[in-house]
Amino acid sequence: MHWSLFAFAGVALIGAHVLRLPVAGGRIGAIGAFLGGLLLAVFAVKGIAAVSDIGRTTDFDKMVNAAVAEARQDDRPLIVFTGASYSRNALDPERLTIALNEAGYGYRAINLSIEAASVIERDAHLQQFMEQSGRVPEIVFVEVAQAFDYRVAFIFGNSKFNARAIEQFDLRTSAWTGLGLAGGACGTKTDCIKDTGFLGLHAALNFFNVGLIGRGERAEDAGTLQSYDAQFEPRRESDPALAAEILPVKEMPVPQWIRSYRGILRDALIERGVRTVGYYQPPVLAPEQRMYAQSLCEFELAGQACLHPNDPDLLEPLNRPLWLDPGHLLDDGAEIYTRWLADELIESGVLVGPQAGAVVSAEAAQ
Amino acid sequence: MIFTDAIFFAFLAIVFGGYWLLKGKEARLSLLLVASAIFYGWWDWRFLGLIGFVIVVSWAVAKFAAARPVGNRARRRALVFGIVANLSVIAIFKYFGFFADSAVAALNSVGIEPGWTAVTILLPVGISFYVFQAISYIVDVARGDLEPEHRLRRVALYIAFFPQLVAGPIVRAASFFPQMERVKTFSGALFFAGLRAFALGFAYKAGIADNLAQFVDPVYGSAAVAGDTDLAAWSNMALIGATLAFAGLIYFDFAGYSLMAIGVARWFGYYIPKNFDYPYASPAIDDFWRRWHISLSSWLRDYLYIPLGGNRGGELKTYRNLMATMVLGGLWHGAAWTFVAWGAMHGAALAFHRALFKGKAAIGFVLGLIATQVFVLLTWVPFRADSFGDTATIWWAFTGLREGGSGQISALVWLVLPLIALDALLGRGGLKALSKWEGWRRPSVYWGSLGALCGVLLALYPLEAAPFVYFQF
Repeated sequence: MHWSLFAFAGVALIGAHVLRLPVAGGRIGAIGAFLGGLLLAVFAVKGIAAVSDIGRTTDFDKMVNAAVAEARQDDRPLIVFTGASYSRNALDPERLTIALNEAGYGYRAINLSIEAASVIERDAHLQQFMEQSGRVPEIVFVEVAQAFDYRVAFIFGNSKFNARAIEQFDLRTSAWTGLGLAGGACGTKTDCIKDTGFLGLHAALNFFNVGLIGRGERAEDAGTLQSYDAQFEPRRESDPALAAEILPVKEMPVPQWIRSYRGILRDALIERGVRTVGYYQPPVLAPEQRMYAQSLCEFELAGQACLHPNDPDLLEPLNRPLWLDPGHLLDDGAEIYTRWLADELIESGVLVGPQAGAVVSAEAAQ
Repeated sequence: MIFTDAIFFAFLAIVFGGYWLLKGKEARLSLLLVASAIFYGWWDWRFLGLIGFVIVVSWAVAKFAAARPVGNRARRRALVFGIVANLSVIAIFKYFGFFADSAVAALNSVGIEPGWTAVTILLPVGISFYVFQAISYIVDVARGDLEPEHRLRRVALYIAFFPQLVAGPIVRAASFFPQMERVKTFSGALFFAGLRAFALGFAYKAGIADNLAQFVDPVYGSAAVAGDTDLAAWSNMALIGATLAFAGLIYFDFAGYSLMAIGVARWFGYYIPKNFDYPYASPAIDDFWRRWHISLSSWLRDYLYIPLGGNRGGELKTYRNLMATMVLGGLWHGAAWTFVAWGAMHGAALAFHRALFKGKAAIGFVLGLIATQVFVLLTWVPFRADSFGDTATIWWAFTGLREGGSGQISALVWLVLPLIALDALLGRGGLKALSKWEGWRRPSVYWGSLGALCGVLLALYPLEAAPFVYFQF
């Protein structure tokens, strides 16, 4: 909560109390005056929110705060993973940090993943993390998934008309999302119509600052929340045998907007000082989705650091009841994935080391 | 569907458009009745049967009673039957669990295990409001103060009129029935009068009350869940601040709802009297009750206090009647002993004030204001707290002697006080130069400030809208 809430509440009280029957006037003038007053208030609110650095805080802000707190206490170079729920349930940064450190790579792993986060939303929060922590990660890994590449406004399948959905559709996100929708990255025809409508509504709600002051606070004041969300009880029956199935890889069509966006994001991160931008996908049971990630790694992202899960060394141990549901791992599964990921990171050559003096014990890392 | 929901605005636009497009009075009444049924059924369509029962019983009893002369035994019996039937609805749906639990607790305290537990019954929204309206109609007809309405549709609309159906104001049939017969024409004056009330109510509710919940709920816990808070963790200042925030919340929430109801009714050409008149500016407790929830206070006066004897039987009986009225008024607010205690404290304060000052504010405005509002603030504690234990803890915090926890709430909570003061000053003419300035009526100024108000209210709009506090009553 911010003091401006009370200031604006006072303004609203005055505004509402003084509304008395107007004398008659022209319609055009009335519309013009109304719009003028509305826009004046809209930009006044935007100005105060910007000066006060407040926004509609969400769980993602809490995760960023937790990650910032970790990054501030730790001098080790950072390797940041930014993804959606696949990563939130599968990638334990503590275990990964320990595994890398034990292998002689003195990195601190950070997971910045939240359910249904579009690529654009993940980027926004990565930027927020860098600004708040004052640190630039040495390596950034961006989760790739067919669902997000093919449906630019994936967020609307998970949340609508709440702080998170409204907050993210600023001009930049709206423009990129609009570009993706125009390019057909929106799933079925019905989804395209719905997402276009929702985009328009959310962009308007963002423009008109809906909830910005009522819900507004500085991101740093939002509290903390760990991103890794360990799960211990299956939520839905899943067929773990699917994990063993690997489809032959073929080049998959990738919407142009996401190719462009990935390129722009990569360039911007590297310009900011990130040494390596890589891509990854945690394991899911659907063989087609894993094949999509493999296809990206072997075609569009060939030459980039790219870790797809279609590896029998990973999938074989996961052919057990280690699944929360077909897309997400239980904690034991997450442990297997995190160990595999550490090995893959080391093998990929993106890490610098072993570094003398940077090797820390498991206890020290904790 | 609550007044601050987007879905309500869509609903309102459709009903408003349809209403003024229809020409005939009967067609408009029918449309309002259908809209009211949709509005109420939106929560739980099964309770349409319940409100239908209340309507039919009230209509039939009033008709039956009116057909017999005043003083006739059958007429009196009809009145009793009508009241009992209506109160039974509240007794079953609102108080059954409370009385059953209380009975179990009483038996347990003397070492008897009854071996049964009360079932939980879902509380139909607005039940206390529409049942009281129905009772007032039956009583007015049976007393001979009001001609009965023979057309069921009109009685139905009186009891179920959607703007004030779920949380009042409690409207009297004598004022509502004539309005149904009046031919209504749409006018700018009508529209702007509705807009003024609605905008102020929206500012109260969405702009202030819902945002104050951020201070109250973490400390007091959710109003819907008992025992979900640990007061020991909070500092004394946090408990005081949360209580202050609740005082602001309940006023802006309920007065906001009432104003929006008045505004919406106005848009359909109906006049509903005001329900709040800046009660936090009252310098005496009797004045507070003339300004707080006016429609309930006057209902309790006319249908409980006066029939009990009012102030006609000497001072002691007057005090007794005041206490009985306020205790039942407290129980009306909720099925819990804390509400009874809240009512009893206000009853005692009214009796004490009457005994001491004979109804006059004898200690001066400022002292009276402070004493009254501190008392009102302290009595909000049992009103909101889960138990008497929590109430005692919070009262103890007010003394500063309690060894509190480390939990803090933002010091911004104290800004509730200037907001309440600003509201009262604007409403009661304390800032005449500002509120009465004729320039506000110039079209460019009016529309410009309305646009700015919309912009500010959108920014204040709570993204997680809370239901109105009084819905639970």
